[in-house]
Amino acid sequence: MHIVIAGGYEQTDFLIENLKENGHKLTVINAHKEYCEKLSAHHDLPVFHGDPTRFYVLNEAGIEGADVLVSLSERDENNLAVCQFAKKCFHIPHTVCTVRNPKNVQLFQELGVGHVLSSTHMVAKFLTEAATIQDLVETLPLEDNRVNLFSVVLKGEEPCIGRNLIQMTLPGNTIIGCIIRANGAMVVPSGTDVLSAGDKLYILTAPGQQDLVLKALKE
Amino acid sequence: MFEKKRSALIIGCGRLGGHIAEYLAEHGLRVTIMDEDPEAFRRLSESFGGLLLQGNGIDEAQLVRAGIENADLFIAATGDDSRNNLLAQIACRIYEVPTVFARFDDANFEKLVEDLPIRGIFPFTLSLAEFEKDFEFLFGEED
Repeated sequence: MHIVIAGGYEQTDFLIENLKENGHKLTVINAHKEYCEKLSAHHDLPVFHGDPTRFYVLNEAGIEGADVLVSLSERDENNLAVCQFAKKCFHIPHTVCTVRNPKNVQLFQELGVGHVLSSTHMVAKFLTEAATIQDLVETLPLEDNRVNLFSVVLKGEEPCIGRNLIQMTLPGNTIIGCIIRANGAMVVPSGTDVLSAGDKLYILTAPGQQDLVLKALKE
Repeated sequence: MFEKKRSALIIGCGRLGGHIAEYLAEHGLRVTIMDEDPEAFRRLSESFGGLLLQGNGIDEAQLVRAGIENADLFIAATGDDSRNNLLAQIACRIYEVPTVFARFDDANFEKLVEDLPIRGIFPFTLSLAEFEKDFEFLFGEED
């Protein structure tokens, strides 16, 4: 895919590395001259120096025909303008941006930006999800991110406590692979095993479904 | 023209925003003007009877406090094109303010609002048109 990265600082480095490894064609537009020089010295990719909220800068960078544009400015209003130019004037089908103000997630989506990410928002959401489940230990992506393995410890307040596994409704492509009991015993569960407080569950699921699984454990 | 007391909300009390505020107040509208910098309100005349609020307008809660829900007229007149674009689209698409103006230095921003009932004010384009008119008047016949 041809991906345009407009604006941003530290996150840009990480994103470039990551996307390049996955074989995407990249175009970078950044208003900081020194940063552009650094990028073009380290990476073999087109880097354009200029303010991406300016139409002529986007035009010079030749972004027409790109598949995705990611806007990473620190100012939310700049991200909106860049994504709207990309969509309307350069016909880029997918636009993604970050926002500082979590309230802008919904607003920007209503104003036509395809995907709006707010880190504050994601942290808040995570904390709400994790509130009744004690420790969300870690997530391990497997098979190029096609499977996630993660673990949770049941606090004792979850409604699934005392139930058979068979009574639980988990999302598709999800399995509780292993239970470590509070006393350290390891169980590869069957449908008749009952969950109790202090159990640590190792769960295999499809990426992006972790929230659904946590919700299912809480309901 | 303005039988009922209509209300106007202006964001940005620069030269443009300030003058529009005075003009609308003189024409009998109930005017609210907002700027980040309280010093900006000094350019308004002493007789200006509108409401002054400090804020950047980017936060929707501020706009609601400033009365965007009942505004008849909304003017995005800050010095920043991206911000005016966002403000005007919030006014027009989220709060459905019937008449929305936005000031843009870069005329390309018109492309972002051309399908919307947002009226662009383009100081640069206007100045250029003025110049071209004068130039043609002075030199046009020499060709």
